[in-house]
Amino acid sequence: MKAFAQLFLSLDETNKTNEKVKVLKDYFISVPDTDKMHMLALFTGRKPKRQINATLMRNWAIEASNIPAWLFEESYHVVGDLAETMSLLMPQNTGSSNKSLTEWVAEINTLGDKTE
Amino acid sequence: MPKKPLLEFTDRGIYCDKGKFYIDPWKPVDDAVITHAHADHAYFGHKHYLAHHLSKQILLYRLGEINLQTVGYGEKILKNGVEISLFPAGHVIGSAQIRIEYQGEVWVVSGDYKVEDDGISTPFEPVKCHHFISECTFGMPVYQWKPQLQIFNEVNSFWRSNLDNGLSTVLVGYSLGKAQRILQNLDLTNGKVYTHGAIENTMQALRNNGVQLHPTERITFNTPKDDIKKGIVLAPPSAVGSAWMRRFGPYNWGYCSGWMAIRGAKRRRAADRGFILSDHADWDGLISAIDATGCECVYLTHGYTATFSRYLAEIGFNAREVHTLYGGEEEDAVTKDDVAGGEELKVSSSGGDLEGAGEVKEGDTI
Repeated sequence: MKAFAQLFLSLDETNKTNEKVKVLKDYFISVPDTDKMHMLALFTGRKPKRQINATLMRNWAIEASNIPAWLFEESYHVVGDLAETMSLLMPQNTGSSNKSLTEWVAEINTLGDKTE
Repeated sequence: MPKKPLLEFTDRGIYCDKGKFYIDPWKPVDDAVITHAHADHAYFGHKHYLAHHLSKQILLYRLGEINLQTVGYGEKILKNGVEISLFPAGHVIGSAQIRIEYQGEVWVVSGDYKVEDDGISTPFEPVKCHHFISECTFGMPVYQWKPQLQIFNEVNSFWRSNLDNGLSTVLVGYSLGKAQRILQNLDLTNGKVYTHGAIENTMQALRNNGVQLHPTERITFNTPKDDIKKGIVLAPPSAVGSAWMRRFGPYNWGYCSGWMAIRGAKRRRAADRGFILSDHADWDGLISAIDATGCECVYLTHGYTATFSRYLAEIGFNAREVHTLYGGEEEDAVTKDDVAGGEELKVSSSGGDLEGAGEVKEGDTI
């Protein structure tokens, strides 16, 4: 997952197509085949089925960021992207994980069966 | 009849009727007290100006021959029995909060401020008052700054990596404040710092005011492109996309601004890199600064005033929204101001000195 996060960051840090191609090439060379497959699926819009609905996610984010719901909505209005709003408002994560993209996707796919 | 407040909000600016003076007025008045030299706070056309010593040369450079009196922080000035004193706002070099006292009642006008010590501006100092008039440019909880050391590590490694890849580096930031803050925190073992005319003029005004700044070199027609590639260029926002900037290509450019906290803001400007660096207080900074004044009432002048005042009211402050013409020096006013700097250069360029924004047309042929 760290390689995937770095890929996204690197792509976001340049406006030059050649540079983006180089970043993608570096990613493909360095990760296992299953990660490449998941990355391609995510980047081409074939996301796995959503396991937790947006309303729940939003409510948890509001709770974690310790602000009133209306302020969360206003922030979303300013930022324009729900995932980015959540990442900006929630406290910094202090832990870290070495799971691969493949392992994360597998784990997320089991979440639908769990209770809150 | 209720007592008239010491300060009131008029269509010319914040006004003290007892002392017969305005603070940061946007229309010509007789007596103006100026928080800092940014274009949306220091307007042309007042009969008398009062500002901090460190704003002197920059105000004279930007506004020309004005009738200007300067004071130090904490020094007391009396106007018609009303006591005025300036306290550090930490926004840019020479920026001040204005403290007004009359018969034991104290008001403070923040101007623009940030609470982090940037190493070049006198650090922000909370001032106890009954009424606090505060900005809230970044009064949304999504704006949370990281320590500047962390940001400048990113900036310096960006520069390093461009050098390794044979690319020029251009950093864009406002010419008063951001440019000096960047300059003083660049790793100069990487190379030399080259400046756009509008920025160099600002640096020069500050140096004339006794401010010690790292060396910079103004970019002229004669500056070799290869030398620039080995160094770094500081440019104002108005230079983005100009022929002046294109001649440094191939380059990577970074925008240094608080607005870069949001990905869409960076994408709209098509910046290669956004460095989240602001001279304004972030969300927590605003709340802590307001809390530290111990004020009975806080007035929010510019920024996300509606949202921020509603939140402050919910957590127990007596907060009110006020409409002023401040704000936007990180956005539109930047262009106006830097263009003004460029026009001055044009005048001097008629004397054979072709520099800065005035050379945009000629730059095309280089």
